Amino acid sequence: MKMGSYIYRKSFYHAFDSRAKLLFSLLFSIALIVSASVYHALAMAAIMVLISFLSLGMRETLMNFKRILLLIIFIILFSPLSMRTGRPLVTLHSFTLITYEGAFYSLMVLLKFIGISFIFSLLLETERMEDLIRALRYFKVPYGVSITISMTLSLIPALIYRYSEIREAMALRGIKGRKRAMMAPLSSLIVSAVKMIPDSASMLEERGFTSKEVPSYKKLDMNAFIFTQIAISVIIPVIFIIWR
Amino acid sequence: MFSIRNLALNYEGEDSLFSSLSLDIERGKPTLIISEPGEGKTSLAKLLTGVADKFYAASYSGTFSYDGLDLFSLSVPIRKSYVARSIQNTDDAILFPTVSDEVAFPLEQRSLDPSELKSTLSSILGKYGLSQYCDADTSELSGGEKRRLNLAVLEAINPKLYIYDEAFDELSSKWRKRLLSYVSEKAYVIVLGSHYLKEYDGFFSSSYELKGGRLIPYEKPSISFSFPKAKPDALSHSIELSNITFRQEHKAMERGGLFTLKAPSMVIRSGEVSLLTGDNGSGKSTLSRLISGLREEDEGTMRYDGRRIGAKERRRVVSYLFQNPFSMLYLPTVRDELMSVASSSEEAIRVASLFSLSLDSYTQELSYGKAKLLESAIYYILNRPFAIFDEMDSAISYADTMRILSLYLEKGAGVLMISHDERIISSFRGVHYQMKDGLLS
Repeated sequence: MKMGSYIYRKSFYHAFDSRAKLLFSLLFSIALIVSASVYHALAMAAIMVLISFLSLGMRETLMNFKRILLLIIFIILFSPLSMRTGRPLVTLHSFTLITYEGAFYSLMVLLKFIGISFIFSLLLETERMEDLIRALRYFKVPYGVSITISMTLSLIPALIYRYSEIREAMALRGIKGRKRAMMAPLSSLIVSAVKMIPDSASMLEERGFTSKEVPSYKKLDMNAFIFTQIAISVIIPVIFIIWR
Repeated sequence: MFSIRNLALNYEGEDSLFSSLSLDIERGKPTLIISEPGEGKTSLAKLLTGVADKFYAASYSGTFSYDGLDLFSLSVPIRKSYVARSIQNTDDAILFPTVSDEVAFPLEQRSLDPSELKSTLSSILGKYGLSQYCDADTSELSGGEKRRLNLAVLEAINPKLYIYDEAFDELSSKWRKRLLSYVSEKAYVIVLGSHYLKEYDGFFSSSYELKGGRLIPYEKPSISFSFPKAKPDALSHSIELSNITFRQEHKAMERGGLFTLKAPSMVIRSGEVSLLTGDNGSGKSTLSRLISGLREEDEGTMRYDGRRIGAKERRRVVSYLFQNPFSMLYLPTVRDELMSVASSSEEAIRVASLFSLSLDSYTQELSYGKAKLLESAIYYILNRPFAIFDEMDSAISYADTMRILSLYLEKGAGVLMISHDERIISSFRGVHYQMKDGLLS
């Protein structure tokens, strides 16, 4: 099964054109990646969290944080240890555990990670998958590639859903403690993901898919208002790239 | 006329499913093929559409033709104009996150002009009662709605030969009748099923049973069954629902995004069978999830033997046998699944034999019906006071359904049976609950 992450709301970010949003997401990510100062990265990450709050509300924004919480913890715990040279910040006896440079590097990684996660979560939560495919096709991405991207993006929530099904199955069987190890659901998830490949491929072909361009039943219009949105979606990230 | 001659099929490293299968499908003469789970119905459908050998490591011999045209020589996307199938496991069939996109995709592949495409899309969605869900996330549909979506996709492909693989299962009685009228409009039809439904009476021109790799004429059975009796000494536990309310949001939908379930009163007693019926999407599975503790009610109370019981504890006293059995299975083999709950390997072997399962089979390779049997076997071992059979009768025979029910009742379990089957409903004598638009009565 394929799943979308779209959440229906009537926010300004939902109303933003799919092409403008796609461009904004890509350019804003580049601006975050090339960011060199903490204030710069903090401002950008804060903007994305704010947009999430304004367009999806507090509950979904917290859910987005929850989904990446484990990785945030990993970054906080292990990233400072990767840069050992520089001015000592935390020492244990005479051994330097964390340096100022390591802490700065970790903070940058963390802000960039949060910012980029929110950019793409917001893209998928405020735009329907079919409109993203149309936006990609508008930018002349080949039909076959657009479909592949769409399939891949829907695979992630589908696997998350499968994981929740496995957890439910385990809960219903009363399996807990050591038996509730990660290995069973993990191996099942891998099998599910592998099984989805022939299933999806056969479904596509049985419906006539040949990667040849076919007309879409919904066309994306272009007018002055949408052009302005696209211009804004380019100008804002470019300002951040220049400011970095 | 479609003609199948001397068809043989086997999957890599396995015995052949069938070795010399021949069949003619004539215009206006719908064909029914019935078989027990695992006999090869779905494999036959996959072979005819061309995906068994291309994507599932099957090898075959024989011919399949339409008015002399060799269909096996055509690629899958070309062949779909001649033959296409509905999919038994609807979860596997869904490709896109929204209902309208799922149905529009095959229409786009037919290169219809946009205005024709839009009107065809709208007509198909209306025909299958999906117009209100056009912007809904496909994963949020009920089992019956997913089935209708899958049938709408088949309609959008518009082949000459329609293969309906267990397409009547999970549909409410109203939709079964409607589907039968749609099927009657098709030129060439094969219906694959695991049991003979009451609705089939007088409809098919030819009926076969697929057994041991051969197609043999199928004689309409005289089906009469009575619900098994429970042991009188087992009537000792009860689950009671009072004034339950539960709200669920369809996240992606603009219209009618909030579903509200209300269950003013319900009692399930151990050792008894209760029946729950209702249209697709009326809330039967949602209610089952509440009773089994997978969801927590917003308002109201549930009591177990008079004592208030929370969701966590409900999971320990209620077995919920999912509509789609694969949702419950997550371990590599049947042996692993049974051993995850059995106290000894002897118990696993005994129960596997009781439920006609092979311990070394891979779970993901089981047929849908066999997966249902495995799901039943797991909960049989767990021996809970209550069980919910969510459309147990789909994909397995009546005999198997009643046998499983007997096995559970013999252990003293109280069973809430969800079904759309008219035979089961009409022969049921007991407490009958109905669900309509989220309201239990």
